[in-house]
Amino acid sequence: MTNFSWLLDGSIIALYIVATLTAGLMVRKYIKGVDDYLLAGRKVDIYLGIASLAATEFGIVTCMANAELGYKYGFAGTTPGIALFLVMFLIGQTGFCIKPLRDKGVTTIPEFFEDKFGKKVRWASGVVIVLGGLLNMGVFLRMGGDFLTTIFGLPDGYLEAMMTIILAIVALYTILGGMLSVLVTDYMQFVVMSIGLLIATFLVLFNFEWSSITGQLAESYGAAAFNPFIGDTYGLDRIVLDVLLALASILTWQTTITRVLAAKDTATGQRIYRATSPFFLIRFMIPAFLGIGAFYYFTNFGGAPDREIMALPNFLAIVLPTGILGLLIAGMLAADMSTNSSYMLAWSSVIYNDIMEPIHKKQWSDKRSIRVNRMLVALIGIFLLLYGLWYPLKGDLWVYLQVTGTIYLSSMCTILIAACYWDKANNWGAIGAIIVGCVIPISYLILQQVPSTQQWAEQIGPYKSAISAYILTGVAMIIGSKLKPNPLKINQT
Amino acid sequence: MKIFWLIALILVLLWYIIVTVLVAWRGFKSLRTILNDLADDQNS
Repeated sequence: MTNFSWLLDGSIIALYIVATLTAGLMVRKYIKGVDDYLLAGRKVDIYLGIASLAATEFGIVTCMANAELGYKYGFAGTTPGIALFLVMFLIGQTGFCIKPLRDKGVTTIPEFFEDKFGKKVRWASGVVIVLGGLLNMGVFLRMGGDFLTTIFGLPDGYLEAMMTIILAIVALYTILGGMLSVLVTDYMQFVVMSIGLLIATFLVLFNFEWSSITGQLAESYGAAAFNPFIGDTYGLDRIVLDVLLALASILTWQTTITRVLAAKDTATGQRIYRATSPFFLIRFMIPAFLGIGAFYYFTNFGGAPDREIMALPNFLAIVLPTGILGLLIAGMLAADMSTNSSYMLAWSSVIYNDIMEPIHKKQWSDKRSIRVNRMLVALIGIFLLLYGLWYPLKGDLWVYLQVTGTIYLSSMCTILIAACYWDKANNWGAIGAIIVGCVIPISYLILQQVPSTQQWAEQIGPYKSAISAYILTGVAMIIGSKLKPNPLKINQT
Repeated sequence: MKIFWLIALILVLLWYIIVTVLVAWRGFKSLRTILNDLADDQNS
């Protein structure tokens, strides 16, 4: 069942898509060099930085994953958002790692590593970032397609078509306009997405009484729905992972850190972080609240979907009236498009800047560099489509995102902190951290997929596996750095 | 705890409304400045 009207809601969505495409394509004429293409000429100020960062980090996947957390854990499901908010604000305030990073004027994190650890570490870091990032992003299209087909009331067969349409629109303006198109469309998408989300939240808040919603939560989950430290529903290991993940992603997640690198100076970069930090709480609070609304509705009126992840689109399609539904879908589409475009550009920038550096050695003309970057964005798009079609998601969506993100977050975070603040850190330690950070989460994903080892993977659990990756990358960095012979001492003997 | 979450949600929504209005207004001006700068760079 859905209140979606093709005439009214469809027109709102079509209008939004045409406006975004037009704006995204119009700015492509301003692209002159590769710096304009990848970092919009490093001219981003505070307001545009907030819009771009907020729009990028809020997609349909985020919304569905965080609504699932609200549906399953109540308000305790907002714990990752609280951790992200606090960590981001503190990093913005102190400039921890991001100050030396922006002061250096680099395009990507691996480029920053080259000075301290050499070219091999830069290259290996690029490979790990792209691997983790693409696996992470691999489920975005399927989730976006799932959300839209459900809310449109279309049968399952339309999912692949929906995924291809979303990707084609996003790829078109990202390939042609690069970061500049991403910025312009992010701005529009932030405004549309915010209006849609705010209206949906107020409607749920006014349609269902607060006391009824919270009463239902208390009855079903007890006090644990309001406090993640109570009982083992949410769990201490999950809270620890949320904090580690918050620190690592705020410091090294390429799409997040790109906004600091694209800022016009270091102080602006820090201000963007401080000012956007509450949005990282909103990013969890609002979807989780909508998920809680879905839990209340389906518990009382029945009709819950088979998969908890689909609770949000099913719920919104029923409770939002025609017209508002169109606005929300345009908002969700906006959120998804800005996320996909920024992510495609972020990974292509790492592939070009770091993995392909030994090939082009920064000698290529701007024209050729831009052409190669455009080709990389297109190839990433094709990968996303293929991966999204065949990868079967097991367990929580948020857990999948955490585990795949850990592939690079654990090692990159360790190496970045060491590069900024530990004089004795060296390339042996960095390579050790990369290997350990990569092996643990990938092994866990494989164990989870192979039928004979599934039970073992369940016993370990995704949280303990990811926490061990963070701890052991730190250990590998220290041991590797200590093991490497000191050339000065060798010369003295 | 229920009151705590109600207050938190209201504060979050208020902040979101203020930031949306501020970013919509000032972000548009920033965007125009960036595009003008880039156009000037191209002409020079």
